[in-house]
Amino acid sequence: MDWTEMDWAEAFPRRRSMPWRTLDTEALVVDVKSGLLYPLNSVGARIWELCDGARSVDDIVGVVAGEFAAPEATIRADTVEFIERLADAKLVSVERRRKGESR
Amino acid sequence: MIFEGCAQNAGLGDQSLLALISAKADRNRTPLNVHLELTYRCNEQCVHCYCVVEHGREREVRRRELTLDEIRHVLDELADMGGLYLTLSGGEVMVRPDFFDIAEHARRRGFAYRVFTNGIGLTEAKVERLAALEPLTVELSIFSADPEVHDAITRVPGSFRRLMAAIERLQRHGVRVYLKTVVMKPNLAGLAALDRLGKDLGVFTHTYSCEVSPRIDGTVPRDGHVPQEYQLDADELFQYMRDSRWSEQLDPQEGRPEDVALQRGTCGPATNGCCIDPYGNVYPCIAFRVPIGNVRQTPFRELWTSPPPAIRDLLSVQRYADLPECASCELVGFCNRCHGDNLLDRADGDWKRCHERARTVAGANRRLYQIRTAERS
Repeated sequence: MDWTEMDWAEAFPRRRSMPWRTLDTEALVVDVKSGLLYPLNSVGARIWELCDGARSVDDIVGVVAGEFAAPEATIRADTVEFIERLADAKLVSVERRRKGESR
Repeated sequence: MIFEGCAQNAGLGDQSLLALISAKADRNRTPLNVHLELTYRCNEQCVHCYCVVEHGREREVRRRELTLDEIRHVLDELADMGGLYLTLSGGEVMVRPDFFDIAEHARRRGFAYRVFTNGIGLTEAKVERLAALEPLTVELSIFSADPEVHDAITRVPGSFRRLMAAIERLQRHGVRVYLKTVVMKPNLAGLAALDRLGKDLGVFTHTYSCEVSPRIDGTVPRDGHVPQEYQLDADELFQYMRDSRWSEQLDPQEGRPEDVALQRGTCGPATNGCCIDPYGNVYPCIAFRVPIGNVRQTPFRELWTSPPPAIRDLLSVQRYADLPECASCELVGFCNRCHGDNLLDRADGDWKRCHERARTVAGANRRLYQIRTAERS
């Protein structure tokens, strides 16, 4: 069976054993390997929570747009940029999966 | 600063965001930092130790220690309440045969945990196992670059050699090593060599402290020498400050004492963290040994949210202005008093009064600051 680009989605599982806590609406993430602490604001904290390895960017944007008052295009751009920063910092990995496929 | 010694701000969020989160953790009394003492048994007998039981009483105290299941339960509660940073301390943590089960549970429950150890029991196999459990840091005490001086303080021949072997193993396995030195009369002379050794070893960081705490149980060791006897006197303290990089960390608040006292915050035990001793007693911090309660009798959440009057009184002190003798003290801008050490030092138990030792240190801070300021101008 041939798969087209439309059949694929990226998911962003948080790296395993990355200690973190949501405190009120913000979050603290500790990268044990590097010894670095990442404070996240409320939007960042929500996106971080949603990076569970099952949700795609579309899923995450959908949830965030329902909870924060901003245009969806802005939320999408911010979400993509934030996830890229998380991936650059190796706090999440990027996994390509076929749509509808669970982990 | 609630994150001191824990991890560096990575800069994904800015410093003001960290300050906001810190302030919220304080306001909500989130137990973010927990110091968990697993045992007061130890395979060293350091001359200045504030807590370790003397040899011969190990069996008696071991029976009273929290079990693995009890520790797992309290860690579960703490994780659910927002606990993030966990220090596994002793005594010597490695004397507990279930240490790795505890560390594993801490990791599973999402704690960024540090391990305080003297290192002498860290065999290759143990280091390998510890490295796999990804502690944030392993923190070891070192007292001198001279093995004889170090061993005389730990009272264990060969402890320096074994410590060096442990540091080498930890670093080889990629564990972040943090060295700590208590500066005292017996090791004051060799600090330059010790500093060089830390650099040569390439450890993550090496910090120094001049404070020696009294024994928390108020006992006098069999040899008749209490920890305070090893503490630097005022002249030695100033000499150490002058000759070290101490002045780099001086950050006094200047102005009228009454104004400074209104602005300057005291340390805040029981605000965003606590200490739990090996027998389940919960304290506001390592030093302030007035129990909030015991987790064997009452769930941690209940203890934490309904503290007894003595702890509510402690929580009400947030500024130096809240302390009658500090409110107009000319040294208030240079003081970093510890309510707990004051409580341990004072016979009358009135921890709100002036802490004489803190005053001595504040006086030396001011003297040094004046000298450095004059040099710069």
